Amino acid sequence: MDYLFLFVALPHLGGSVSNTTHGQEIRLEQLTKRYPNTQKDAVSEFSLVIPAGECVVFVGPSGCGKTTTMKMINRIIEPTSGRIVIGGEDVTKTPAHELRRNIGYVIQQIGLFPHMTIADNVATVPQLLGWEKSKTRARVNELLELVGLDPSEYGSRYPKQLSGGQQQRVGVARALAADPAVLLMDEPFGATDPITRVRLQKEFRALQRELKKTVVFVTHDFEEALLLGDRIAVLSDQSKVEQYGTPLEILSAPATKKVESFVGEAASVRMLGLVSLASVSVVSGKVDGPMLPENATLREAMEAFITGAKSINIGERGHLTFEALQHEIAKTREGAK
Amino acid sequence: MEDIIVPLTPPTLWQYIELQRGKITLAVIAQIELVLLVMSIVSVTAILTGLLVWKSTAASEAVTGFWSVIFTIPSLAMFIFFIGPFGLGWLPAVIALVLYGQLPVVRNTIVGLRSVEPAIMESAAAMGMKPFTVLRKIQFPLAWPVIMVGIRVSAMLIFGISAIAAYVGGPGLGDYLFSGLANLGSFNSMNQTLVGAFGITILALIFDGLFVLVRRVTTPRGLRV
Repeated sequence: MDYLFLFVALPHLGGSVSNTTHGQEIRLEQLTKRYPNTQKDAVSEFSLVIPAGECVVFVGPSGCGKTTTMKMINRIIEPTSGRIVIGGEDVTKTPAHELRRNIGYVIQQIGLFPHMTIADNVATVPQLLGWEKSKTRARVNELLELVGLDPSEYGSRYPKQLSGGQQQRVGVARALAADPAVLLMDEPFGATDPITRVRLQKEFRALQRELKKTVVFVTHDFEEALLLGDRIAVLSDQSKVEQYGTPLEILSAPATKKVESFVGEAASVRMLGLVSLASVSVVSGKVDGPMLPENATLREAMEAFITGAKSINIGERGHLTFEALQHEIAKTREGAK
Repeated sequence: MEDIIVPLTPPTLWQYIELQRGKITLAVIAQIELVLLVMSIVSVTAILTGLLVWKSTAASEAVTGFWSVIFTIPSLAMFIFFIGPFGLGWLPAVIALVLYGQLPVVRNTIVGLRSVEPAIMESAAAMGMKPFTVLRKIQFPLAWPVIMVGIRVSAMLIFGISAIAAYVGGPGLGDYLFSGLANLGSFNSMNQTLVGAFGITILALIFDGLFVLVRRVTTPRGLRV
């Protein structure tokens, strides 16, 4: 089903990136991790195909093994058994440092190198790859602009001189520096304040729309999963896949009790936030009532009705009554199942 | 003819220094040479030891434990032990001082390397740095300010203990201190003692000041902001 997200505006997205490498498919086969001297696997026979260019969110309670699973993809944690195939190539035995230079990595603690300038931090992987100085410099500037930091102002600063939100922008720029096909993100926005977090999430989503990397994103925040994921894998203990599907599929048809408890209350209301008014059939003609843009969602339409509107104009396309909205909601639920 | 009575008052400290200028200068130079030599050997060996053992808790504890034991041996006893195998002069002095200087540098190297945030180390590895590159470009520079403190503490210790090296014929100002003390009450003995004691103290303070400077210069700017 075709759906658009709530947020489109992107205040910080400066230039666009030239010649971006799009994502590659990641195929995880029977990945297992067992630590020495433990009784059970931390991750047990995890198999999943992550389509090229999509953002897949691993969501689940803490301790369920989602981070361990993600870290096995770039082999920060070596799998005990199983196979990792990226872009059709088995990388389970590739030298780890070579594999990692093609995989961006962003973590909650950010992990910028405090003794290096922002520019040097971003230049880390290009330097490891032996890029020419001028090419590296141009790339660093391009990326700092991309994440909304003026290179001339921030390039020569040090991590400690930046706020948490700015540091994580640098973290994202550093991960993207050598234009990797794959991006791994472990609760990257978890340590920022709620306002900054929402802003970073929106920016990241717009960025991902443009760059089309294959992203594996780990979070315990279901809202974040809904906002950012093209697909969501709901995981439980030992990284067992409870359900793997689009946000709409998971909200409208939770596969197991565990998924249901994770989706929690108000699944229907959340679902409304995922459906754009662009896909809704409307009655033509303008009526007396508020106007919503076509890229607004059913949730915003619902809000307008709750605050007293009788019907709503959808852009220049036509108008929507409350009955028509209810009908759309029912259709959406059915369609997702 | 009248007897001429020459008043036998000992020279003042300044007069003494003036009279003995050449000898004192040589002693000061020897003192500085001794400390610099010992500190270079200590820095290289102790940092290498730290680099080898920091990863293993057991090895780190064994090494610091060993140097702690060495550290508790009274210095006079240690110098005298070494007369047997190494004779008198520079050699026993340098060896004993190198042994005393190990503990602060080894310990701070281990602590420094271990205190680098795991997230930073993990990021470096995840960027595709090989283990040695992580050490060279990330971990060691971040640990350096802590290691530097160890070297500074060690240098101060070496200054103090080096005075005692005069017992085994070691170079430096310690000789003034001890011959002064041994002949206390005789002509000039107080001046000798004072030259030895103050000389070493002043040199130690100058060194300490230099360390502050070197530390500032060698600490990466990002860690100072």
